[in-house]
Amino acid sequence: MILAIVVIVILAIGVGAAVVLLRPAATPSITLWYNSTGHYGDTEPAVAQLIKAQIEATGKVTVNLQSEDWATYRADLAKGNLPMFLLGWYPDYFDTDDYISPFYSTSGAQSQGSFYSNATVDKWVTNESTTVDTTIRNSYFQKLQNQSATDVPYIPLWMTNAHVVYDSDISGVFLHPVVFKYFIMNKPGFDHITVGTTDSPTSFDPALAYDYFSGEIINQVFDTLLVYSPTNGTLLPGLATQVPSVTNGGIGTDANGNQTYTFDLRPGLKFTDGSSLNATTVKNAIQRVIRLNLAGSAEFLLEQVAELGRTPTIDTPNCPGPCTRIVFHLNKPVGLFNEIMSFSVAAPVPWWYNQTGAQQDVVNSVVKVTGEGPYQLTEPTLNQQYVLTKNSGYYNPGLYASFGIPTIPILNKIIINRYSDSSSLKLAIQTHQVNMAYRTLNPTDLSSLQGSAASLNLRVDIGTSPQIRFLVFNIKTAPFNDPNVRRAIAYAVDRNSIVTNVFHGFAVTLYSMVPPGFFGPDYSKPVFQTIYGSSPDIAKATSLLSNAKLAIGFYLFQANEIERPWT
Amino acid sequence: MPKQGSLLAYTVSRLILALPTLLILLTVLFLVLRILPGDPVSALEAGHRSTRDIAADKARLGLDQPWWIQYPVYLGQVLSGNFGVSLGSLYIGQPVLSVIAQKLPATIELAIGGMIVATIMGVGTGVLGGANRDKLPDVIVRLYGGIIWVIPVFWLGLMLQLVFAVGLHWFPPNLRYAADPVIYPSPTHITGLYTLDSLLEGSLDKFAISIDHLFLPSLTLGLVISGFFTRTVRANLLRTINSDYVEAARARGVPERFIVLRYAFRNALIPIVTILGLQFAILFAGAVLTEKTFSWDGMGTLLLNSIDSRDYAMIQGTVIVYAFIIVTISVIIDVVNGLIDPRVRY
Repeated sequence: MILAIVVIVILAIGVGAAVVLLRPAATPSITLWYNSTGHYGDTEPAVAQLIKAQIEATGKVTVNLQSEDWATYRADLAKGNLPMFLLGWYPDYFDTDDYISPFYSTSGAQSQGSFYSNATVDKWVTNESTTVDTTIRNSYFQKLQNQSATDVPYIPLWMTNAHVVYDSDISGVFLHPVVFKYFIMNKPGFDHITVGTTDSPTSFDPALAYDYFSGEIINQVFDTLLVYSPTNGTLLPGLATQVPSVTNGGIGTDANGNQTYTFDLRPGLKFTDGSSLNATTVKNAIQRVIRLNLAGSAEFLLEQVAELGRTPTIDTPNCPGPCTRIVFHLNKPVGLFNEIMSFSVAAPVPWWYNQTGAQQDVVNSVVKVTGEGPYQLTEPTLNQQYVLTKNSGYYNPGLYASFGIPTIPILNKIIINRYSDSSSLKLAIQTHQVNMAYRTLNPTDLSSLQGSAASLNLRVDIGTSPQIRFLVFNIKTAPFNDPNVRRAIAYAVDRNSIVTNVFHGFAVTLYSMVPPGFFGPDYSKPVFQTIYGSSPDIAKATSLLSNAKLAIGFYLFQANEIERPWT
Repeated sequence: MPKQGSLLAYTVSRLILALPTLLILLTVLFLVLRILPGDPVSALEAGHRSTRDIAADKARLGLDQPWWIQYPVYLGQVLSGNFGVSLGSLYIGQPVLSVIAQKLPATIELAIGGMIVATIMGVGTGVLGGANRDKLPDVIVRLYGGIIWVIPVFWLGLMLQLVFAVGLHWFPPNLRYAADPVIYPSPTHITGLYTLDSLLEGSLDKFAISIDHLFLPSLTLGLVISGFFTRTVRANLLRTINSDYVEAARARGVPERFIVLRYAFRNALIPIVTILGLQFAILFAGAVLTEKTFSWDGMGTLLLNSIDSRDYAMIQGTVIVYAFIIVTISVIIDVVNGLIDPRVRY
């Protein structure tokens, strides 16, 4: 009897052990992170689900989905806590370099959370950003993009759409790639229009603003040395009389061998409060941005990208006197200095602006935002309503005369109302509570409005936005430290499926981190399409994953917990 | 020294007890925010600036210090009436109290509107149900009380928007006031309550526009809260309607309608007054989602945005103001209770 029990127990143990040991190896798992609080709209979970299914189609890995709110997400990606995640990018300055150096230079890649570092690539980035020669730049941009598809620290996925829905009788509406220009719009029989948006501004002080909506308002209220054409990214003289180039002598070299950019201002410029705007004002404004170096600002564009340094060398050779010439001496040559001088961070501000911190937009119900642009900000109810009123003394009403727009601004007032989300904005334009809805309607709402536009007497304009969306790998973290795993995922992703199923066609597939069709010399090259194809190649993805030694199950219990020290 | 058991002594003791409540809340909130992952500087800068720059900015703002060093500094500021400046993207650099002062009237206006709707609907349906026990109106009222209580506020808001704004065009879909201040100028800022400011300005047109915009959000918030009132009023009315003094009145031939309204309802109202006060506090919390649904720029929207950007100072300030309002209402209720029923003072 006892013997029988012992035999049964031994057999039971043996069978149990066999079941455990002989069962098929569990599929290794990886984690895909995404933002859960709508920073990129409400489509993010659907995108993550699709990518998960596409990767899992290889049968070699399972993909766990994890999400975080935006503040945590940004902190974690910078700390290297996210091994694979979805991210987006909107350009700071309108140059191809802004899609290259923030991603592939060692310092840029660190802030993107990929921690990619390649000494040769760093050298190429430096070379493309320090020359204005388009042939040389093209050569480096091609090399950089080719290398990006080989190393795959990022997988470009799609370009988001730009859209605007408006009363059909409004004219002069252009989905400009850099700044939406209200001052060229017209509505016959009306002297103003109302606009709805879901965007929120940070501040209208150029020394602090670093978000789309703040920049959009700043661009209506302030002019910069150079401004953009009404329809595309071509630079035109703004406060300055010409766009500096080597040919016209605006780009040169000083006695120390440093590159210089020289701008000549129009004479007699004034801010709307009557204070003068001359070369000294511009110099002080640039120095103020760098001196203040406010948290969250775009100061680094002047100090680091434009190579002005912490203590910029800026000459104003004809001050006192006409005080119209300003010469910037750069620490290193920079090919995109003109683009940075047209970004909101370089907008001159009056001498009386706060020199020890950000200028408050409103103090005791009085607006303190003072520029010299086509509009003045007159009645802001913070984070709720912004009223732009025509600057009757605008110095350059004929700016766009050669484009068939004889004088700007056209409308007396632009009233911008903030809505909490896409559905509220849709209701507002649907019920004609506002004349225009600009940023941001989700694809479903946009599709619905497009369908009913004619009956609602609305127009829906859809264009491509320079905002790109992509997948990031932290290449210091297993298994993404193996390039073959990253390449396998590049083979597996199906961009067309994302564009069709999630965005109802209101997005464009992207095969390079440099989006095509936005810049004068178009350096974009669809390298991911060339190497990985337009549609998923699951066989190649599976083969690469098989060779990547994932099957040992090492990542099976990969911790998703993130250690967070108390601070 | 107020005599023990006096209303004044009771009021003073309740006020003194409110202070540690606020202090404990502030402390817990401060700690929880520091435990939570993410911080305001990373939320602003990560992805654009280098890790070194982010660390430098955190150090500049004192956020690199451990919480036990940050906390006494913050507490000292708060005790001197300074709640700090915003660190979040929307109100960066602006004094917290000044932002709250701009947003608070919107939430108060919405809460009052919601309370009016909740009271009218809750008390009305409660009386209807209680007076017609187990009859069809009572069945409908009980169903209403049960269903409306569990309907998500954002869904109800969206439905009302679709029906009354998009379908019937009776009310604007969202915002606090007309989107076009050129044609419809806003009321002059006096209290920040648009309805009250319109009346103080003597403009009935502006008052009508304010009410027009207030109606749907108030209806949404009020209807959801009203379910609780309905059930409470009905239950209290049934309790009083079967009491001895009501039976006595009935025996004397007093008409039923008179009995319900004069005797039973009045007595049923006493516990409801207490509940009304407490519901007002809950109403503030419910206003967060209602504000988002109707793009109502109040404290709820402010709190949501601040949490998203880990704006420590603004979250702390907003929650403390909420807590202060709720504690104040609760003290007032306690005092009123003490006034009505002297036994609670001892």
